[in-house]
Amino acid sequence: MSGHPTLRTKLRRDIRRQWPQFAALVLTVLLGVALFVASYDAYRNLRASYAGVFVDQRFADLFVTGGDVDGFARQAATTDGVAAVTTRTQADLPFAVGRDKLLGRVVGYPASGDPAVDRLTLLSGHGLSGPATALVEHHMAEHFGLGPGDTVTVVGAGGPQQLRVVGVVASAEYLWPARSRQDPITSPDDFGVVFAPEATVQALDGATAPNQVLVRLTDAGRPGDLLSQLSATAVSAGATQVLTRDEQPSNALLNEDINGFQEMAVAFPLLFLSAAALSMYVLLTRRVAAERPIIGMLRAQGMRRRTIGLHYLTYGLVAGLTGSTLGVLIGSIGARVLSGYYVRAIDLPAQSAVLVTVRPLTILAGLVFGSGVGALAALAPALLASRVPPAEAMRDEPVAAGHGTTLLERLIPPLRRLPARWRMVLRGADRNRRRTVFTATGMALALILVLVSWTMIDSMNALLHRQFDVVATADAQVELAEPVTSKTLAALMAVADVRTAEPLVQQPVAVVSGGRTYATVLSAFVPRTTMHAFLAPGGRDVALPSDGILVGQSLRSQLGVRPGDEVTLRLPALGRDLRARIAGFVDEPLGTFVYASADWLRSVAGDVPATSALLAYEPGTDPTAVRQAVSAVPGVVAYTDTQALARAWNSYAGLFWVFVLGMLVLGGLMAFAIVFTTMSVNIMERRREIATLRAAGVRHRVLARLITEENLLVALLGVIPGLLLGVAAGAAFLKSFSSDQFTLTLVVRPLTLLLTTLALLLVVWLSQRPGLRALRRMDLAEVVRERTG
Amino acid sequence: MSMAAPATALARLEDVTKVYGTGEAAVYALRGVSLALEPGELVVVLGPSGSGKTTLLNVLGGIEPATSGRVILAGRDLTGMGSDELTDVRRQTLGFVFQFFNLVPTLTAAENVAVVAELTGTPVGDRVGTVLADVGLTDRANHFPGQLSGGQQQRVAIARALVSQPDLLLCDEPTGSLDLVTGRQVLAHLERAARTGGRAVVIVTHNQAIAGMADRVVRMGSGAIVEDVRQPQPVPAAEVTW
Repeated sequence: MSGHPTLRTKLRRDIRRQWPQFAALVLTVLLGVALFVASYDAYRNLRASYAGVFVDQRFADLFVTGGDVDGFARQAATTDGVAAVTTRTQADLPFAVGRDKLLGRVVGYPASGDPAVDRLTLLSGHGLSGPATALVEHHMAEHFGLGPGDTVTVVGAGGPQQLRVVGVVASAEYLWPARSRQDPITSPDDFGVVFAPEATVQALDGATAPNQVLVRLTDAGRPGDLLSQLSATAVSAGATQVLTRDEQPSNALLNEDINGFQEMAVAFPLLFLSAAALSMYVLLTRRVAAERPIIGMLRAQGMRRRTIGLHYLTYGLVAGLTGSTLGVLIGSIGARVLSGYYVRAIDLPAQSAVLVTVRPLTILAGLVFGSGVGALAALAPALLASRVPPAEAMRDEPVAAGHGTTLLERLIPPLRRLPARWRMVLRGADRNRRRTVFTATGMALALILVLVSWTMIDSMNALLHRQFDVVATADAQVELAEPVTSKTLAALMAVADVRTAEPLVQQPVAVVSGGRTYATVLSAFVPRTTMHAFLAPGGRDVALPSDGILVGQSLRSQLGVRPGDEVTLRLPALGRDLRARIAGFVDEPLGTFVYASADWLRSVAGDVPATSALLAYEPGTDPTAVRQAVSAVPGVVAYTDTQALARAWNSYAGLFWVFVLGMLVLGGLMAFAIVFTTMSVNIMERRREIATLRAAGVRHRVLARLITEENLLVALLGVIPGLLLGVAAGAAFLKSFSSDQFTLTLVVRPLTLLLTTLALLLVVWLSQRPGLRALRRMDLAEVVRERTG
Repeated sequence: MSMAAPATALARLEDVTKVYGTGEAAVYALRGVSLALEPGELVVVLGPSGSGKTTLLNVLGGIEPATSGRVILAGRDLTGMGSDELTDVRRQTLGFVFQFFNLVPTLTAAENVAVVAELTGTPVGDRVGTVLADVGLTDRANHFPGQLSGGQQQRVAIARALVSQPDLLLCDEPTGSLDLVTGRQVLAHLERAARTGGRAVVIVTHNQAIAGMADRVVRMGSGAIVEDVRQPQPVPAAEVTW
């Protein structure tokens, strides 16, 4: 703080005299710091909450499926750095819950006690108490209203078996109930998990030994490359799927999600604090220019340069400190609300939720960022003030020199013949180039903020359209107790609103090439299927090959394969391996699958029965009614609504639009703050010439129109870079979500760009209203006599 | 001591009072001032700081309202007029010249002269060139204010005030920022504006020497006119010295 009492008084009065500008600066810093604290602490809270669950439940570091399970388990158990190893059986089997039929998952669990790896948290009821008892994962329990005493029927190798629900549990593996990496977002109608005694699950799966190994490392074992070594060992032991904790479907998805908070904790403050710094710099530079004679006088009377500099620096520091103090308060509350809401939405076990309100380091960081930005932005004007030469500053210099024709006029000479009002607009924008650049930058920052979220929604809508209207056009998939026959298809097509039905062979598969393996699903369609389109990268529609397979293009990098390469298809359910040529890649938004024609599969693997069927419905069919009708067809044991994800997304669309609106409000506030500040400075600087024009008979609204046109022109200068950077930022944001689970391609609708631009131009128009009102109230008599503007 | 206001006057103040603030803080800038201005006369208003001379000019020009009394300009009573109406009256009747020129720095000399006419859609024909020639700035027409000296800038301001051919030219300390030589040049242009245009020119100044060129000298003190005298033989502006 300035140590000079009179300068402190001046500082207080400066703030009071121009409180709206000061408030705009404080608001911008506040938003930046609040968003930093809220998103960073929410991120930390959620990370800590997940870590708590993982410790409580002894969450596995490695999930190995298939191959020599016992051999690998024994080898892993004796490896240094491994804390515990558990084996179990897991099978995806048809479930019946009341009248609902779905393809669920049954997982083996010790009949008594807890396993060494991946134990469950009991939310209600009690543990397993007999061979026909089950613990239901709580998402499924909530959706179907299941609790102790209810039953779930599992259609296993020996036919349907009723399991009595004895408890409801939470599992770290299903915090987000994802079926697989290829099917990460499932409807609760279509997927649920139950845990049953290991022997019961083996019997249901028709197996005699476990098919999964879960490995938990010691804390000392985690940092090294032990996971890679164990993964390689598992693959060489014939594993069909090896997933690390980071790749585990639920954890991978939640990580993507909460990493978004971390990205927000960087991106939002960066945008807002940049805007605050620009506004602060513009405002203080102007103040120093206006106060040059005063500074000159103070210097002439012996005030030290440092004292002068500190006085202006303090303004920035006060604005930064005020904004960051308020920001830290609001952000801390926001963090708690945000993480609490998230934890409830995920249904995290209550004892694992870590909702820390006050993290001293975050608060300190917020205060340092906010105050630092204030001081940093004030530094250049403060130095400028401290270097003012006293004699020159006190000399009478009523007209600023250095104005001339604009670059545009020099490049396009006819512009010089434009009417005076247009020349004024053009040259007004060129008058203080640095300020023009800052205002345009503010506009660009606001555009980036809005476009990142809006393009995300556009891209998600495009993804769903591509996935469900172009690629996977079937409305439902049913699992049948017996292989599909023409009679079965006829029975399915006899259901009202079912337009057509096709058989489908679907098998879990591990694609193996060059020592690397990728677990996914092989789908074999009728050769001219109408249920699925195969789009090559670039969008070309290709037919199913008569020889070989089509694979998702992410296998190009996952396995290092190219078209024409031969790979091994390991089919654990059939207990055999096939050699197949990659006929081509497909570019699909969701998942990475293997496709073949049923004829080719038959030719290389013999008669593999089709136990699934794909259904297409008439437009406008009621999904619930047709689900019940199809589920009631004899032989149908499970039903999957393949369009449920699209409907789920659409039902959440309102929430996403609220998010976009929120971004629009924040972007608008930012644009408002920066344009309001530059506009105020612009008017302050020009009030004498504006007053003179008014005194000479130019009406207020004519001048207001000129200023509005100038501001809109300056804002428009920021539109093109803002749109380009906004789209680039949107693309980078989407890329961070893309994996073998999702391929999010940026889609930019011209309407989105247009609406964002128009909305922010409206904000610019609004932000100059206070300045224009001040102009109308200006005391002409006083202003025309001022020495400097 | 005020002169009686003739009915043919170009502008008239009738018992005008201007008070700033209220209650104990009230400051009387004008106290019952009456004044009439005739076409073609060059009036110099003199007085020390705080005597009310600038307030008189502002009230006369309609940029400050009178607290009481009447202000008649070109036959129109300004009392009670709205902001837009006052703006129109100023445009149609008045020209202003200020101490600090108040030019738009982004416009050339010619553009500064033309801008008000262009913005208000008032046709000025080729008068922009004429008035710039009148003030001797033809060769500087395309220069920006930053490229002109103080005297040249003030001459641009005079040209700007004259281009709409006002009946009344109001000048507030027009030589206050200028040295003697350039100040004399500016006064000469104002003198010519009064002698050739048939308009009234009012110069407010604290510079006693300028009074020598006036047809009429109005002295103010404590918000009132303390003396209003005609000078039958004013000296030419070129001979004014201080």
